[in-house]
Amino acid sequence: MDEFGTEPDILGAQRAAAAMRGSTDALREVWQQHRRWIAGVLLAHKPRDVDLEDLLQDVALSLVKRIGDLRDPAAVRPWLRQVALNAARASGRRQQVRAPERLGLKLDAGDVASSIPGAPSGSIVDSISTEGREEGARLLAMARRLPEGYAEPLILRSVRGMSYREIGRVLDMPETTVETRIARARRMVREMVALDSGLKPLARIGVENEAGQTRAQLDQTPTPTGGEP
Amino acid sequence: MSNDMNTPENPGHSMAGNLPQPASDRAGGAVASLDRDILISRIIDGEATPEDWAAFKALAAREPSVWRDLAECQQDHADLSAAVADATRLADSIDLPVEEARSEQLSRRFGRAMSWGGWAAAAVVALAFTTRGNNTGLGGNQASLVPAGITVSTPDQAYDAYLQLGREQDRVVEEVPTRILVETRALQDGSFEVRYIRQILERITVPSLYELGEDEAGRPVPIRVRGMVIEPPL
Repeated sequence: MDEFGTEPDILGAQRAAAAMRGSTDALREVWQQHRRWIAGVLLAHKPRDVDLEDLLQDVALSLVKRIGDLRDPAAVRPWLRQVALNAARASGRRQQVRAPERLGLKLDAGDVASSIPGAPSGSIVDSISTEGREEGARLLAMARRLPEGYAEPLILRSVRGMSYREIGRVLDMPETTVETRIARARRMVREMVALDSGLKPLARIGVENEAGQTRAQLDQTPTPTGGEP
Repeated sequence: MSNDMNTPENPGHSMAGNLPQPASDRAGGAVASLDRDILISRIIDGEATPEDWAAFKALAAREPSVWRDLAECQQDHADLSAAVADATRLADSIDLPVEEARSEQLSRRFGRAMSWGGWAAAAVVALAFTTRGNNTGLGGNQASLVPAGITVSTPDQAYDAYLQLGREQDRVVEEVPTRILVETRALQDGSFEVRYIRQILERITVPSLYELGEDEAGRPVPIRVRGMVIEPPL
């Protein structure tokens, strides 16, 4: 099976249409085809203390119950993404009701460890042994802190090599936009890593963060274009 | 968030000389930096064209440090991909809860039918389907329900024959594996009598649909359902 839909769209649409008509086999195939990148979307949007597995189960249940709501079988990817976003947001609302004191802007690598199967809750240092995995978890934590619109393309690109085109289908945006956002996101992550490590940030890119600050404002020290970190 | 983050960054894609150009009024150095980042991204992602490579090599001739940037970005991408793969791998273990969801929906519908007025009301609703529907598959003689070559001598054989014929005629969607337990009763010989409900998910097309309501005097009356969906499709 084509996992990310590099097959012609018509086949995916036919599968979705069969699922809408009540075919259980087709419905399962739709889920198997899309669940990996759905996990990526959830990873980009989920609140820090919510289990990814719980959200995946929510999305799976919604798919079964609400596949009939899908108007256009060809739009199954954006529809599934919206279902995933709704699940992530709903979990955030539930979390706010339960424990508002746990919400915070700070995100550390331990947040990522909690989403890795088999990883015990605790610091990233305790749960991830290899240097590469530790660095990967740190980068993922940084990626999740990116401004709206940047984390998702970058994380989807890291989901088993989704192409720009495939990401564009999911996000319903042009490939060139996907490409630019991924490039900017990588730059921002590297800047965040540099700041986190106490190193001089990389060249500025003029993109605002959540607080409306540009990277240029964050880095008051002029840095030559293309300068070293 | 600035406005430019919500607008498509949508310039050319394949030619290095036509790289996406951000707004020209950005801070000095931003344009060149973005071009450089996009070139590196394309190379990391395997999307670089020969023209992109030529542009990258020309850039590297002027700024050898770009090779180091490329190597570091490539390492970051590998590490991030490994972390994302770790986190998302559990998706493969999440199966679609088809049976659970359908059992839940059917139970809800069954409960609703009973709440309309008990078993009798449910029977009336069913009657409204079968007497007004076309091609419902019911009402024929017994022989027409038995597929050729199948001997029916027990209730289970008849049941299986019904499922088979129903599937062939697109009437039966599937049998719901979950059986609803109604009651159990201990018998004198030590065994138990178990009463349960089997569920079959079916579909039919009907010209009109009625549900049971009440008139002003509280008497049950059929009410025609118009232009609405009672339940989302399964």
